[in-house]
Amino acid sequence: MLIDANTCFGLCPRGGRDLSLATLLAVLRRHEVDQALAYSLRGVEYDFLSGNEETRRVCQEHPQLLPVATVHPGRHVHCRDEILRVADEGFAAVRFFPDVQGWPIVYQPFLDLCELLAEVGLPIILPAGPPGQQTVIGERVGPLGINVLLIGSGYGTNAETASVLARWPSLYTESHMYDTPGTLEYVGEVAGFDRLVFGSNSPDRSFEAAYHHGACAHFTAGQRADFLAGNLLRFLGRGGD
Amino acid sequence: MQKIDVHGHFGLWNFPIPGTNRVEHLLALCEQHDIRHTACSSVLALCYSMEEGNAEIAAAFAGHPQLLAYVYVNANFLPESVAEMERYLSLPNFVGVKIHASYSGVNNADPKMQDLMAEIARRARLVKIHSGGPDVCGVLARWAEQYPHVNFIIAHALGTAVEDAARLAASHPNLYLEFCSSWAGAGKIARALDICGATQLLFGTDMDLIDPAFVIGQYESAGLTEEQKQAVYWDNPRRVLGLDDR
Repeated sequence: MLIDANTCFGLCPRGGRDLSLATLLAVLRRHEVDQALAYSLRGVEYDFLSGNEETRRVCQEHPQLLPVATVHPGRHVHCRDEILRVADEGFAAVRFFPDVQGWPIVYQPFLDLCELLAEVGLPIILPAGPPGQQTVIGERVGPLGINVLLIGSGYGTNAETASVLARWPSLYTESHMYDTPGTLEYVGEVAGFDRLVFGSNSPDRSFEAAYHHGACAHFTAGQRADFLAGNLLRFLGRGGD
Repeated sequence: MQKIDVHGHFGLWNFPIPGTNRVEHLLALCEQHDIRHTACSSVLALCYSMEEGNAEIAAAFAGHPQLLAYVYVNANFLPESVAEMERYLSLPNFVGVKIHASYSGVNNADPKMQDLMAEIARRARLVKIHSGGPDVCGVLARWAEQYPHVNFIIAHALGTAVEDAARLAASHPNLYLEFCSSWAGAGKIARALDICGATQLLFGTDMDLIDPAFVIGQYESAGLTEEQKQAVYWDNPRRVLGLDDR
């Protein structure tokens, strides 16, 4: 089974990239991806209410896509209601974009929403961000006990990922920016192989780069299966032990 | 398919990369991914001491014909760079010269870099450039025209400016692109292929900073025909690195 934790669809207002739903579906079909967490870029770039509505509709039309909601804490208005609504409607997780939207992790509107998400039991997806950000996420969100998936840790932040995951058992790491030899395995050894989650950031990034890197990693068969699907299901509270 | 890698490194990276800074690690990655040669520059030379780094890589690679080396030169130290080229370019493992705009803090357009390139062109037929600064494309085009006997490898195909790099390579037959990068933009190699054709493309990994698997995934999904893969993975690197003449 193969589940991609990191996909999106929509438009990029900065141009130059085909991020359409049709392109995403073609990538998933070409690589026989069973399921993918997906969010609408409309919700990131403009309005999370209409973006989540689009995500809901698209995921109903394409059941292999698992809906991920977005909320912009800077708007404040409607944030709590929207989280309660997407939780009620079966969204898989809520993803935040402080990097795109220009707000910091230490930001009370966001931290308030994290507490609400912990209450309703919806997992959180966040960018790993620049050095130091994962540490802050661990300190501020880790104690809530809610599952958090950190997206986009690369070689400049992999050491921090290993340490933060080792300290906070509810944190997971997504793989699309892991590109150094042996680092996925190293983080697994330090923090647990059950914390590694496959993601591609399709259709913006090359699916094959992330997938081939994971495929060539020195995992046991069980670790590989968990990396490609089982750990994400456990993160979502939808399977595993 | 067997491959020749034009972009490797030897040395210590301050990232969690188990086994780095060892020849055996490079050889194991080569073995895993059917890479018959990798052409590397010294991380110590890039990050700190040009002389120590070049000496270290020369000593480490001696007796390993699979491992090829670029002599690293630094525009801040012109006489010393000339001495390094004189010292190493004739050695069996060495295939060319490496310059790096950001590690040295001297961008492509800087007058010091023009002086260095003139000295390189007197001594070498191959230079791999990690570019930086203003008017990168203009400077690369001028160098390609000014020194037609030199082959230039544009490292990382200028990153996100891959289409600019491909247009340069399309109009300058001595400019070549390789695509290793942590930025795995979807379709970037295919777009370059459309613009400049497979004859200007090379296989590069950035190992052992970047895992060859991460880069091979991108090459394998670029829509290359078997003939084009043979060119990109083997024939072109072999020709550009001068391995046919050895």
